[in-house]
Amino acid sequence: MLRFIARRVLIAIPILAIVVSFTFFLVQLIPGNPAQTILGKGATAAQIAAVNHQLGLDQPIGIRFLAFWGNTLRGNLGVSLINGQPVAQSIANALPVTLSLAISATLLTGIVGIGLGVLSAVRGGAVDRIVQGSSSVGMALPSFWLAVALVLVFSILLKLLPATGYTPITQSPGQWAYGMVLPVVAIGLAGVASISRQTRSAMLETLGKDYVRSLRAQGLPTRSIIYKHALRNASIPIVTNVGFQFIGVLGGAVIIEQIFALPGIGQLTNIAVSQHDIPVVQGAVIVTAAIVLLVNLLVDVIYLILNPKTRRA
Amino acid sequence: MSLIDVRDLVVEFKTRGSNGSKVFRAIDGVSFTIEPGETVGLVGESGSGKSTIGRAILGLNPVAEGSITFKGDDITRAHARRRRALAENIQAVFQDPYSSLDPRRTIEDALTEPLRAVKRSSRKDAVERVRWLLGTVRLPANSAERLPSDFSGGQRQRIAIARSLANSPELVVCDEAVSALDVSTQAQVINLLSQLQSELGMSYLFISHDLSIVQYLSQRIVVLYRGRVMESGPAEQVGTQPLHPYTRALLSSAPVSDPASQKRRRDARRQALVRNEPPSTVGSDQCPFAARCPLVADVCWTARPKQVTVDKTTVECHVFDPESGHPGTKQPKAAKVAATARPIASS
Amino acid sequence: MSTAQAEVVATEPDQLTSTRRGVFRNLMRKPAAWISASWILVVILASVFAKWVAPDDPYKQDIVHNLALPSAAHWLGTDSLGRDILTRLIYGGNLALISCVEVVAVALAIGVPLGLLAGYFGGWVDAIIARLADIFLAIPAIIVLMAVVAVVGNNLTLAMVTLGIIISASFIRLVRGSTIAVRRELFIDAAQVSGLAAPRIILRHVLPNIVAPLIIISTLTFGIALLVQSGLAFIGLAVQPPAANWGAMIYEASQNIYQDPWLMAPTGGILILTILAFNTLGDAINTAQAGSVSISPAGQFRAQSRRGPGHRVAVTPAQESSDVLLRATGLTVVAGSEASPTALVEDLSFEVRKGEVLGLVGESGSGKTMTARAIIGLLPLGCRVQSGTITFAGDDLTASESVVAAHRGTKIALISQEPMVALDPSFTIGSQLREPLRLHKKMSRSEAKVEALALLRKVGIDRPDAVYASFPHQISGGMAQRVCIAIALTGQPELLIADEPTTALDVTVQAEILDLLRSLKDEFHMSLILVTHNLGVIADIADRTVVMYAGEVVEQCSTEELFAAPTHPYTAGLMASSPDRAEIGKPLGAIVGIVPPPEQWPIGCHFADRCPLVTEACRKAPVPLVATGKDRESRCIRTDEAMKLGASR
Repeated sequence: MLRFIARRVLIAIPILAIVVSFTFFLVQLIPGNPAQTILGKGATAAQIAAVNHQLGLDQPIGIRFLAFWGNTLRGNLGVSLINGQPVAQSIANALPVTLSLAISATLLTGIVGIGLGVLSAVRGGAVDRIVQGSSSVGMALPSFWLAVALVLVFSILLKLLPATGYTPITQSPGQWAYGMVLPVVAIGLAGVASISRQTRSAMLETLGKDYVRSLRAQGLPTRSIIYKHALRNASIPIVTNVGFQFIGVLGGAVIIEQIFALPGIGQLTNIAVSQHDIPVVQGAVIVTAAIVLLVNLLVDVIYLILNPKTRRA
Repeated sequence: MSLIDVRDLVVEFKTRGSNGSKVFRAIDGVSFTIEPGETVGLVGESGSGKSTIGRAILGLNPVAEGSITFKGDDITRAHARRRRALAENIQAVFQDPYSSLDPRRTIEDALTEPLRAVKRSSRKDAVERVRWLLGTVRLPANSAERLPSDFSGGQRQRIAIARSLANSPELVVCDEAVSALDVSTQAQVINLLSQLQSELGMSYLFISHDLSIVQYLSQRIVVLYRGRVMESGPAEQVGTQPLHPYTRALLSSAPVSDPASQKRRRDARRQALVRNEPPSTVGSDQCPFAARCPLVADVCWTARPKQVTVDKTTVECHVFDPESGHPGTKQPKAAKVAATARPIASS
Repeated sequence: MSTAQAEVVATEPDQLTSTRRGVFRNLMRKPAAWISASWILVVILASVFAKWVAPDDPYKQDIVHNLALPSAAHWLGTDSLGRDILTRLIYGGNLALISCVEVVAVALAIGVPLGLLAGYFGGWVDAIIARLADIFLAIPAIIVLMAVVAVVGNNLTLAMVTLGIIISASFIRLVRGSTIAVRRELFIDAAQVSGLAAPRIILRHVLPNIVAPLIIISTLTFGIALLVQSGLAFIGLAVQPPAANWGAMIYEASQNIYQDPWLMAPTGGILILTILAFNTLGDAINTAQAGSVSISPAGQFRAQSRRGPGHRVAVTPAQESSDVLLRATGLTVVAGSEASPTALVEDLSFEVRKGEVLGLVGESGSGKTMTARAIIGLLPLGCRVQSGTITFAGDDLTASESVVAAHRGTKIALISQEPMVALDPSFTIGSQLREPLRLHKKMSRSEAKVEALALLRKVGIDRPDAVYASFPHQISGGMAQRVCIAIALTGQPELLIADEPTTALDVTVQAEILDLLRSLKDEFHMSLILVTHNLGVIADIADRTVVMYAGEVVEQCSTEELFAAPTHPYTAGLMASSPDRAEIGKPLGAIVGIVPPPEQWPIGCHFADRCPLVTEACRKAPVPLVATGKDRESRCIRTDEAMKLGASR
């Protein structure tokens, strides 16, 4: 097990290195003079020189590359061009918001999605058609449209839930949950739909296997066959998909945090992009990629635990 | 000169586990020959490497050591172009008639493909040839435009045979070619294979797990166990009066369709086979059958048996080697130890 | 190899992918598919011919009538600048669809060649390409897109190309996976042996066989691209106002949500409908191309326990003689719809006596496995007992699911053909033995463990502790079959049904398993039904034998009598076909022709078309089973000639 984790980490490191290098070279892609692009047309020569210096653009590319790497390795992601704040600090402040959104949404996705999928596969008939039909629609609902629609219904018309605002969970779990309901539903619904469909087909496939027939021939109760044996085997591919959903939520946070005014990584990125605040964008990409790699590692480990064929005896 | 001469063949596979890769020796020093017009049967259980040998001859598996020659021409590691040219001489019929035909291509496509690949025949010649081929394997001429899904297993295997004959090869490797078929269909295909051989005169390498079919079709039999040759010789001899303890176990394990003789066979088998879970790996310096052999002695675990020739049969078993130090050594007058590992019946 | 014969029975002829024509026909039969396709077509046509189709000018402002609800002048109302919503939706479609095409084109251009290379050649090529795909899968697309947009500004095409590159990772994975699957097919080996070069094999044989999954993923990617593109536009990236864009229009709707909530409906509606259409179409293609391989419909797992309405319960049979354990009378198993069922087993009658081994022998399509499964009430989906009874210790097993369920695992047990797939791969052998023990014997966990180890020893496993702790994939096929037998014994059954128990095993292992079954049968005082296609296995173990052909019993008698003198031409032919009885140098006595599929069974004798003794009378009417001796029956009107035929072989 430890060997396996060590190997996966060894594979993840070069990937992260490539992402870090990519974010560095991203700045080099800026057509024309980057400082000019960042500052806009009205910039003075002095301003441009200042930005060039700040970005290190007045140094040779090799030196800059090494310096960027050195800083990144030390956890120094530079400072914002706009407000001069250290990027690492801004990201550290925003991270809990995004993580609480992403983790809640992934939990919702996993629990509700798997539940509906099993229900759909086992019950069949009308239940199956309703779950299937709503899943198709659910997967087609853009999270941003759904977010606005939810605000319209639950905040504006019914006045049940807040449309914006974020309370840290450490401050008041109740308030936190109250504020997270709409964002989590908006961002997680498509995932619920996707997981429920996958669970359904995985369950149906598993229930058609030879060993299920053997279990029935042993006279085991249907309950045990479905929930112990079939679900256990069907869950192996589902774990991978739940991991993908987490990654999707992390990306979707960019839009959802904007709509619900949540001060997370997504909002940070969004503002940085509109202000051409390159160091912040670079930092956000690196941190997100690191989280994604971590989640993939976690998925691999769970997969390993669930699937005895990949586990060492 | 032999049509095919396989000498000291070694094939290895890398197996990837979560503990890194290991090398698994699937074929460990196998030698035999195939003469023109002859059928050589390659018989063994799963894991014996019988299909691997066929695939090595066809160039589908890389060879680690040893050599394969075709009419004196070394084809062990033939490069792509030479290999493609060999398609004219060496062909194959595979086990599973459902997987060996592309479901999206018509029978005509399947049959003209080898023609056009090797000889660049014209379309018209190819169509002519297809008609002849279908007739040869006793299928109606209108089969050409249809898809494989329109045919039963036995019919598909006829199509696969027709495809292998397209370029009039000198050797057809039949890799479990009748194993996937029902008994009555199997008999039809076996009859077809022997008729075709007498009409067209090619050689067969007939690979099967079923000793009775191999014995029925072959002139000579090579018995494999875990990548090694246990015994080889005339089909009559090996199939009815085998020398090697493994061949005896194999023969007596195969049930016969007659209750009285089956009962005798069952009793014989209980003598011939020790009930034991075989070890997962066998060293090159052991007898692979030692764990299940009723005649096992210490030497079987420490030395690889030499090839011993008894009459026309070659056996790799210490029992037949007077110099092995095996306590139960039988010393038939004819027993001679071959000086070097040499292919059987290559005279 | 050992699975050789196993595949005989496992591979069904129609499990290969159906042809393209078939896929299209299947597809258009589904309303969801053609409605989706039509909607996509309408959106494409409308946006391409926007100039002529749109009722208005997309940029014409009318501040007086801004945020208007639908009216005759503006079918879908107007936006905050008074522009016509319908018109702007139509114009916006253009941009949306072009973006989708860009994404899919880039993903295909990168994914297909790389996936083919990785899948076909494997090795280091595969390793490098797989790593590359891993990198793209490791970053959330939208964050990268934002970074790109942040740097190069609002360039939609570049953003979509970037998205295409990122999504190509999924294409690579899919193409690689499908290619590896196709690569394993023997027709690729055959093409290589035929002298085709690798590029031609890829073009002729690999690519056409992965087109279907490619179409599906492309369709789904259209939906994703649409979603991402509108998402970017929603946050004001990658679009230039005043150009019409669906995402930007939703943003505008969200800004006017207090004044005009209606705006959310048409703007979101068109996007949702289009994505839905792409997804539905993708799903439909998926199911259509899967064709006959389609997995079981939902809910069937429970429903299959219930019995079809077509079932009639026959009259209770007369008092049983005491040595009969199970008796099937007039058993007919059918598949297909209620209206036009196809019989798979017809009017089958036989008995199993206490302590005997009954052999059920036949080729594929004979109905022998169906019969075995009907007894234990585990027929495949879509199959049902239409008439007849199976009485077991006074109960009719066909009467209801609860009757047969009460016997399953306790009175009647089943072992099947492929021991490796008959065990749940996720649980240890020990756990799989404990579960039925605790259920049937009400044992505690520790008692169950002791009993499980004892059973493992009983089935001839030398190191029961090691096997107890193993997972199924860690043991050999022969060992797995021993474990399956041990599991079957947990309920101390009176009847063990063994369905081709040794077909997937090597002969040396087969012999040992047959020995084991023989000794266990005596030790546990069981009866055994042994289903097989192998006459040698029958000769080895069966006391009496039922020979089946095309859904019918053709002959039944003691095994000795059967082999001494078959009284049915089919049995005689089967024996003549066996290579172990053949005289070297003489052709085998093959039976001509093939087994007719169930829907083509004739009214008369099912074997008529292949029979050397066939007469007019054989074809006219169903042939009854006639007694040809004590405890001996044959379904032939010319049994005397048949016996001569059998003897002459």
